Amino acid sequence: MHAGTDWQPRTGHLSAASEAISNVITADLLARTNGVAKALTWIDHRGITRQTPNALGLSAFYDLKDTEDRVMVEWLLRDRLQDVRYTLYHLLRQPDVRDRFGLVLIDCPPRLTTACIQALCTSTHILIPTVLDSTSAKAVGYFGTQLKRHEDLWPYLKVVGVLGTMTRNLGGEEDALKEAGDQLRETLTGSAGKLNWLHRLGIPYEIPYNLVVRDVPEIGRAAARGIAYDCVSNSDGGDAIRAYFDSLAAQLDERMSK
Amino acid sequence: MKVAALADVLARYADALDASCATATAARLRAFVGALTPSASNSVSDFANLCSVLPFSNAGDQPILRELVPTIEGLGKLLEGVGKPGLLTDLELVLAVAREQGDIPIDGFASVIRQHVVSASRRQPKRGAAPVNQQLVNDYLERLEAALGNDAAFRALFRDLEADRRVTKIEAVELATRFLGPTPPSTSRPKALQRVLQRHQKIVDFKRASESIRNGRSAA
Repeated sequence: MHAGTDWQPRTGHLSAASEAISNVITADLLARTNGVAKALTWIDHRGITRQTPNALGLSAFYDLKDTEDRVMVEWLLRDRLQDVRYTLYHLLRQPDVRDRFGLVLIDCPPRLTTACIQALCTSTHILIPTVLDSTSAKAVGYFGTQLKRHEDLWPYLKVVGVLGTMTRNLGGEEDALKEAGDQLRETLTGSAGKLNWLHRLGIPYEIPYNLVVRDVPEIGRAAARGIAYDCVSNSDGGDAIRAYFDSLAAQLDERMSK
Repeated sequence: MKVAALADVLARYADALDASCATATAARLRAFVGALTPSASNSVSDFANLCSVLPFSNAGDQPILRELVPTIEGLGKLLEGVGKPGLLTDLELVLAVAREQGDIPIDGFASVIRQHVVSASRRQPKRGAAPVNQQLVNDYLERLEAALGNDAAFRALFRDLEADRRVTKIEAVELATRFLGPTPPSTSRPKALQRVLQRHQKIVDFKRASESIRNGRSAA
């Protein structure tokens, strides 16, 4: 699917994310070649369609909000018997799916919506991105409070760090990153699960400031075409962008393997 | 020859490597060019001298400078007899740097150079100014980190810090920088120490607001 066009659901159909959280997608559909998981493609400057290697995606669209409300209400009214908090968990834990995918990344809003709860119940690790200003730093702390309040639902979930995003090398950004890390540590201390496993290892929650995601226009522009990591050309600084994300991935991999 | 000119040659060489599908080598070379850029207006020999005195760390498992040696050697051979003698001499100088600092990750190397150039471009302290008492700063840093979030313990420690005459303006600025974030060297001692307290105060405020939310009261 090309970013910006093909990922929108056809008229009258749900997006793949809606189907995944409402128990419409089976493990077979998700795991099979040419199933619901689509290749991520983009068109290079020569007009040739290229594919991001070794990656597949499920799209979300505006219908997801309606689906979230619907499945939650159906469950509360007992019209839906399966616990809606674990629908995605059951799907992604199927042997076929686990054999097919080595790593699953789920992009969530910073609120405990039905889909977000499903993602948290399913995930092993959570990375918390934040804009580096004081208001956003506080929001990290409050999100941490939510994570801990409901930690019975995700006893094995580990916070892998706080990542500064859209930074512009302004004064105060490092302060805000520290503040976000402090508030998260304060909130998660005493967790009965594994939320504060990183702190127990003596590792700060803050992903170092030299690894924050800078506000690079080329990344934003690429979003309309595909995955920036692949489709930003070298003349637009693609190499530097790829080198940066490689460093960030190495940092996350190191943390997750602790 | 200026560093900028050499950086330009190496960047073009990286483009040529890219065109030959040697993308990983090109990426490493570009990362090295990134280390040259901050010193663009200096001579290459000054840059090499600088590299011999800066404290680099060999932590991390990213590409290291030694991996650049064959690449730069290859460029030297290519230019032998056709390149300007000054360029070949400068290539030898950076080759010596790459060999000497062979175990240092390229990104870390570039980062140290950048930091040095930025700090060197700041106003220099007056001649004879006392160096930062790092041991004292380390000691306070450790104790402050341990007390963070514990209001009684932190405030007691902060009172000691304020009263400690060994903590001059430069120690206070260093402490604020390492404890919270970059603090301009011109910051006064009281303001630098207030930044230290500010980090703790934000946690206390956050805890109070969180408790208010839990108790169903307005956080205001």
